[in-house]
Amino acid sequence: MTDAKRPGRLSTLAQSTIGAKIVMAVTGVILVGFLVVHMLGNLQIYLGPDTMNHYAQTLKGTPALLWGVRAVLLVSLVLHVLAALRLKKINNEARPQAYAVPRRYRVTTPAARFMLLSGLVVLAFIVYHLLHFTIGATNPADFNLHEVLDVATQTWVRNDNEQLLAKLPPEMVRHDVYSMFVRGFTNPLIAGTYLVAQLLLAMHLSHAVASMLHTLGLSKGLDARQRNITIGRAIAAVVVLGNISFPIAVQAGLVHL
Amino acid sequence: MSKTMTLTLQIWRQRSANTPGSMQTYKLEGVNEHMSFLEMLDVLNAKLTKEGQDPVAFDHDCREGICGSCSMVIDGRPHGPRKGTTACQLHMRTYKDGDTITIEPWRAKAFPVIKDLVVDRASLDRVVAAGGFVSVNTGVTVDANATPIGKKDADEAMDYAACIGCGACVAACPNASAMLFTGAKVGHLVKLPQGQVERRGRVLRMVEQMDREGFGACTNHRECSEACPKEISFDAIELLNREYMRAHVTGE
Ligand code: HEM
Ligand code: SF4
Ligand code: FES
Repeated sequence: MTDAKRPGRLSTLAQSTIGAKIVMAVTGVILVGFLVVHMLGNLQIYLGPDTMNHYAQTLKGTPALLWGVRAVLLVSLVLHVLAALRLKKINNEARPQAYAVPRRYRVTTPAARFMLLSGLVVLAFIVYHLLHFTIGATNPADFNLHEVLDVATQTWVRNDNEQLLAKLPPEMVRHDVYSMFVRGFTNPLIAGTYLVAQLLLAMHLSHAVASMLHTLGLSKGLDARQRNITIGRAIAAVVVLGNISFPIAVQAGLVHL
Repeated sequence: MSKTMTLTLQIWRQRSANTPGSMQTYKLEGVNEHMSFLEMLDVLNAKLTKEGQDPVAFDHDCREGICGSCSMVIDGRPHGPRKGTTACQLHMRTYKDGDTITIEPWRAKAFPVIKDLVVDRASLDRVVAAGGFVSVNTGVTVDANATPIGKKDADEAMDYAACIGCGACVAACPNASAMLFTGAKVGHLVKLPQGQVERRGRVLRMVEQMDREGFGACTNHRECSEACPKEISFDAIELLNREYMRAHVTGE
């Protein structure tokens, strides 16, 4: 067989197990990158209502960018989940008969072994989170909150008079994300749900980030690999600690209306 | 004087590929601490034969840790508890009187059980046949130092070439992936000048064959390199990933 006989086309990449792993890793980079930015952006809740609502207003003020990013994230998430399910099926079929005596593992972690489980919980959480804070379907009373620009003082004032809001030009009305955020996390059940979901996200990321670096072949040598594992866990910790600080801060009364 | 011990052995017995197997318990007395693990099984088999029972089938050849035949999972670990040690090089002094030891075959779709502890590892041979070689005209013996190779490359190639194709990496992997084995074979040749000509096609064909054999996909548990009796580094897998991506990027 000559060397040129096997063309390395995109189709062979897509079909192979390594190809599926690369899809997981590349979509993973995008999703992790978003998580970091998302968490940092939300830290502005600690700077008060005006900063937070201005930030939200700015994001919504650039719809092309907003929808572009949303499209990339959606495609990444769909590809990530499809590749995960495909690999899981291949891996289950690769060992049709289980060991009679459980394997005694040496280095792997529960996080690494239950990636699909943590991933599916995170997926369910993402759906809930979008319904809750992006679409406002689950708690509409906490979602439909607005501020109106008081022209005289140039400050933003809460106003929920629907008739007035409908009449005003769009640049004089903005979503009161700060109040939505605080009212959302005042409910202990919702705060608890976010907390649990974030712990599973922490579990997912604690393996995912290093795994992604290995899949992309970026941890050459034992030291580099160990370092990447540490970096991965640190990123997981930073993202999740930032995220869980929000419901905790509201519950503790540190962030309030 | 050497110590002897009495052991309880729980061994997977399976008559043939198509009959279901099960763990069977045997008591074995007078096991000498200086015996190798396989010699201990020889003693058991001599006893079973004398009693008119079917001896335990297990694969072995060199009994010096170089052929890769002695595939068995001992107490939940491929090749047993000692790092960097094949089952044939494991000695009974690792155990103590009264121990219970479980022994079962590699478990993978690509390694069907032939009998008892013996599995068919021809799938690994087919992965190598797909590209784990260099095409050279033989007949003339080339001067040993006609092709200079840097020390670092030579060392790395030798480390990857240490793989004995035993399949412990597959057995150890929660996904029954053969990435460590395939990576070692690809890595061995990619580090050498002789391996350059077929570099691209080799990795594509070997990965394709690896997938076709029904091995699982790596999810970076790193159990393979921990179980490998030749201590092949996990670098083999990252190298395989890089080589595979490179082969796609440098497509003609
Ligand atoms: C915020 C969302 C998510 C992020 C940031 C994320 C991130 C990652 C990353 C970086 C990897 C490593 C890829 C690699 O090893 O090359 C990964 C692996 C994986 N993810 Fe996700 N993921 C997310 C959501 C999900 C969801 C919704 C699922 C549900 C099916 C999922 C299932 C998996 C599985 C099964 C793996 C492979 C496990 C492994 O390689 O060990 N992930 N994820
Ligand atoms: S990489 Fe190690 S465990 Fe895998 S086949 Fe080669 S020698 Fe055996
Ligand atoms: S019998 Fe050859 S390596 Fe064990």
